[in-house]
Amino acid sequence: MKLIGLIFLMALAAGCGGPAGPKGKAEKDRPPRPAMDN
Amino acid sequence: MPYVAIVLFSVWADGNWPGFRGAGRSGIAPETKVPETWSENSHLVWRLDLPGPGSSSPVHWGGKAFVTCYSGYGVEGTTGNATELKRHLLAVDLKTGKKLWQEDVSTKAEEDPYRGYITEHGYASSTPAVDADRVYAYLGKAGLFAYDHEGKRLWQSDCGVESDPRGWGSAASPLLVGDWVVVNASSESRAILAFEKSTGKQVWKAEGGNLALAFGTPALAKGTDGVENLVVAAPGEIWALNPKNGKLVWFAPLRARGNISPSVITGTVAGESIALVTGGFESKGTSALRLGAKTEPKGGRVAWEVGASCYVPTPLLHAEKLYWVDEMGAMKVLDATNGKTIHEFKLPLAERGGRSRPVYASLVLVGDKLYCQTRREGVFVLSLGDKPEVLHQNKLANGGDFSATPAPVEGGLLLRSSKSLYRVGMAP
Repeated sequence: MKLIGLIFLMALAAGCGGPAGPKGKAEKDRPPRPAMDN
Repeated sequence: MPYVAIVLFSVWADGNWPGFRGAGRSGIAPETKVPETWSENSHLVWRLDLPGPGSSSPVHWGGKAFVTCYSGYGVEGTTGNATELKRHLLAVDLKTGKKLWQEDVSTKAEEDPYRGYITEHGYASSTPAVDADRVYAYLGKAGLFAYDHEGKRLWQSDCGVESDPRGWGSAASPLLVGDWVVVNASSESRAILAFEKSTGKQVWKAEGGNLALAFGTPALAKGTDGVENLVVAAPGEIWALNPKNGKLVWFAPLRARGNISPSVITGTVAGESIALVTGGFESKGTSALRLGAKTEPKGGRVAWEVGASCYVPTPLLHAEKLYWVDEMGAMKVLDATNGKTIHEFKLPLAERGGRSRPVYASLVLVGDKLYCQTRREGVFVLSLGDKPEVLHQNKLANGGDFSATPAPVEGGLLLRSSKSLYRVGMAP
């Protein structure tokens, strides 16, 4: 049953675009937004 | 660096349709006389088969239409090798439908695999922008390109080669801001980028990790204080950038915390300068935000927020009403002063349920009629007002997938499918 659940979740993830990740800086290495205009 | 402020909703450029949703980015046509019915046998002026599919909309300037498409990968009958991907920019004679020139661009980076949602829109989803001197085509990881109207490549500028966290590609269209062309390179570099129109030299970069999964086109809008900002919608927040340097003037939270696909729309509502942002999945919503001022304006930044949203198409603002037909074919009319639903109904589509998303294109308003392009069931022509009604449904046979927003042209419309570019209406 757990295996069926896992397969379903994998299929769902693939349907939503798959596990492609950013191929550059990780999000945590960036500022969340641009510098403020002072 | 010269910076020429432009007047928002500037005069129509001689009936041209120079970018996504037209000159004012409003989706409202300068043309008012467009036939409400057409078929293969009536009011089909010409049809041009394209070298590949695409979801980008056609634009036109000075008697020439421009459209992008792709081939070599992610297309029926091709190999599974993404390095074979080519993107194309075509110029077409608006009167005859004859192809005038075609530019082919090879990919220069590892493209997002053809799977998931990218199979729904492909690799040519950004609508070109055109002015009197040049055509600007944003071709994802291949970069931003400028051509003259005769097809001579003037410059190319890199915009990054990264991917968004889900590998969905990119779709935002270039925005012309005075002497600059601005691109939402959220997928390619998590940044809004500005380039000189004449040289392609990058003039600023506004980077932020929160831009991930922001697929819409920014808008240039003047706030109630008269200051012009570049308004960018991202999942969970909206940015107002100084268009001269890309720095952040203010930001505010959005109800929609999921990915944002529709473009920001702006206008005057109840005497205030407002930005409207919709989208999100699974956390979705629509927000109306007061523009202007670094500090929170009187009454607060948020004018109203509702849970209803439109996931893919960009809504249309007219006479203080917000109209949309969402990706599932549901039409909604909202009071733009308070977000309350005035009317809603489903288009009479044969395609329903499951994973089918029957509408990707945005509404356009021509005269007093709304034109809704569906992907596989033609164009619905609807009346305007509190309770729009379906007046006509015009379907062209064997057309393929119509995900592109129509471009109004004198006496008609340019329609674009995965197979062809059409001019329907009165013969020029």
